[in-house]
Amino acid sequence: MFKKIIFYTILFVLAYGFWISPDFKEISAGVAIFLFGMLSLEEGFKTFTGGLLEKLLRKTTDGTWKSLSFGIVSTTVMQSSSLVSVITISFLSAGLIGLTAGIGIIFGANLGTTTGAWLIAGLGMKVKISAYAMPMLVFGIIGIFQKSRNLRGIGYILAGLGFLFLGIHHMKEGFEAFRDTIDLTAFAVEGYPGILLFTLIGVAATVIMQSSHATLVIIITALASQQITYENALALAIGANIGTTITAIIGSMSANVQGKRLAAAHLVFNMVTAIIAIGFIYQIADSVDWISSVVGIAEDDYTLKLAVFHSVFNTIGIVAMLPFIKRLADTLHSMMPEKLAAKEQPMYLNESAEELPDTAIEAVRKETLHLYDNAFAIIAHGLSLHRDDILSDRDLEAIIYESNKVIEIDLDQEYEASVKGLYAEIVRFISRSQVSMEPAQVDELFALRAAGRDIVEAIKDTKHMHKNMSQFIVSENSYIRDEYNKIRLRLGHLMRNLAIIREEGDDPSMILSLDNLKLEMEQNDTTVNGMLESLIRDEKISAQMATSLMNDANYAYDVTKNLIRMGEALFATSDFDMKQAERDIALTDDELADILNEESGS
Amino acid sequence: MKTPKLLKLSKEALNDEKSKIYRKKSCLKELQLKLKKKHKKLKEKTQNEKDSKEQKKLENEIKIVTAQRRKIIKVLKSL
Repeated sequence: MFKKIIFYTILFVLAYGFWISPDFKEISAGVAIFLFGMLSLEEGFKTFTGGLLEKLLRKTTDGTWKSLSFGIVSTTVMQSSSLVSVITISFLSAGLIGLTAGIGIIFGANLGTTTGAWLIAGLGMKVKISAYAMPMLVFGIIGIFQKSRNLRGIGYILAGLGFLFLGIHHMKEGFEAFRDTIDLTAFAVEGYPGILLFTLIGVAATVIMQSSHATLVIIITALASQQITYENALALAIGANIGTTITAIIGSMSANVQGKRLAAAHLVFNMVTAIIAIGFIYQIADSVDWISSVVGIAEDDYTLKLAVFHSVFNTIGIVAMLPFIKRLADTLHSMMPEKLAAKEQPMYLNESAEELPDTAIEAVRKETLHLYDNAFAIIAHGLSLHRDDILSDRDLEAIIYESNKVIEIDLDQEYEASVKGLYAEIVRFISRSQVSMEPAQVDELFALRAAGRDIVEAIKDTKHMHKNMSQFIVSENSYIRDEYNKIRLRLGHLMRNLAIIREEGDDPSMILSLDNLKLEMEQNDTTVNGMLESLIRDEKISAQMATSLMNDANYAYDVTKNLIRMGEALFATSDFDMKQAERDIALTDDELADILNEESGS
Repeated sequence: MKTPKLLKLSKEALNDEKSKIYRKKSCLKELQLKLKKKHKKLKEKTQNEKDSKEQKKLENEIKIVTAQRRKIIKVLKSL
């Protein structure tokens, strides 16, 4: 209700403003065009985030300086600290980067965003940038209509820049015309009350527009046309810096606790920086004067001096906060603890992971691995094996033959409790997030969904085997007992090997080792059939035992097939192209049959 | 960098299909190298293995790696 009142009040104030002042209309239109340009620019950069940004982010997680530099460079290039914040939260939520690296990126983004003030003050106010806007818009829109993804991305970026320039032009024109009718400097407030008041105005303006860049453009254009004093402009810039954290806070609302921690770190950083900047505003302004005289900025060039101020106080913030980055991360960890999610609750699927196709895919992959972890325990217990024994390096054969104690487990209940709900959440997330994806990315999501189905099938097959297995591994007939123990051993080995391949997922050749497991599966199938024939022929087992064994050998074969297929889709962590290459090189059933035939022939 | 070369590079970067093939080739070459090393390692392991069952397993792995390496060459040739 409150939101609605605010919304309609803003609309009414704007409409009234347009009615009484055409200049105000031009300034507001400038802001609107500028914001539209930001959206278009973000859309363009999102096109290029696939793969490249992920690769870069992986490399920035190993050091504070690297993540800081990444934040500076990416924000300078994309000209949007909000986009960098949202992407960072999204990567953090999907578990692609750690909190310390995320904080480093956010600190860097704060400095990177100050390049915007330089561009606007240095270029926007001195050159007639609207002249560049027109061709950019034309080429940009032509690009947007192209089929090629890259050309479309470039088109969005060009159109975005064009709109940004056009917006700045209209704001500049509006303020210059405004100067002739009204003098806003009459409302200037001197001293600290003025600083605090204008800081609050800066916060409010940025919260409303959701863009510190837009606030800065208004400040700089108003300053250039002498509608606000230099001192008040400095306070507005400080306010814009605090206001920009609102975007990150809103972005983190739908994120998991990691994203919320990052938004809190962002707020802490910007608040500390603002307190320092307000407390030492006159000293910082003096240092800005000194820096300006050193680099040759004219004494009355207040727009460029504002850009210097913006960079200086953000640098001070980084210098002040950088030594505490790890402590800040630790404090946030203890203040915002991770709620221990129930086994059946999703850990990675949240709205912020949906922001980018790549993070959505990664979140689904990790969640399906979580599903597999839950299924692993069920399958292991279904085979009367302990999870830890499978994952250890102890001799599995010895473990199985030493202890044939049946583990009592209600597989249906376990499936309902820790798999069914989670699988349903994964399927729901996939249906929701595939809407804005490229066909290849949708295929990847479908492959992951199929992996989830394979896991569920493997549990169901284990359930079918369970009754007979519980009966025959303690049977007095040593032949049938041996055969069922062999099934347990083969499946135990398979699960152990899958765990090894999963751990080495970064090495692309490891995924191809799954072909060995496929070959072993086929060889075992042939051996089991041969053995079954001889056991029946020699009357070592009863006919009823034989049918049970025959059925269960088939179920074991299906469990193996399903788990290997799941591994192929789930364990590859390399980039998209490498995954495709791995799938191309994995051997087909016919190629494996050729190797088997070659072997039986020799 | 000379202008024609720069133009060619940017043209390739903008051509989705060509850049896809280029990326695929480089991935396959990386895999080829990894499998070559794996093949060598497996051969050494087989020679030192005394247990015949384990030796048989390693030989199977070699067969798989060999088939995969052949497949890479075939795919690379087709690109």
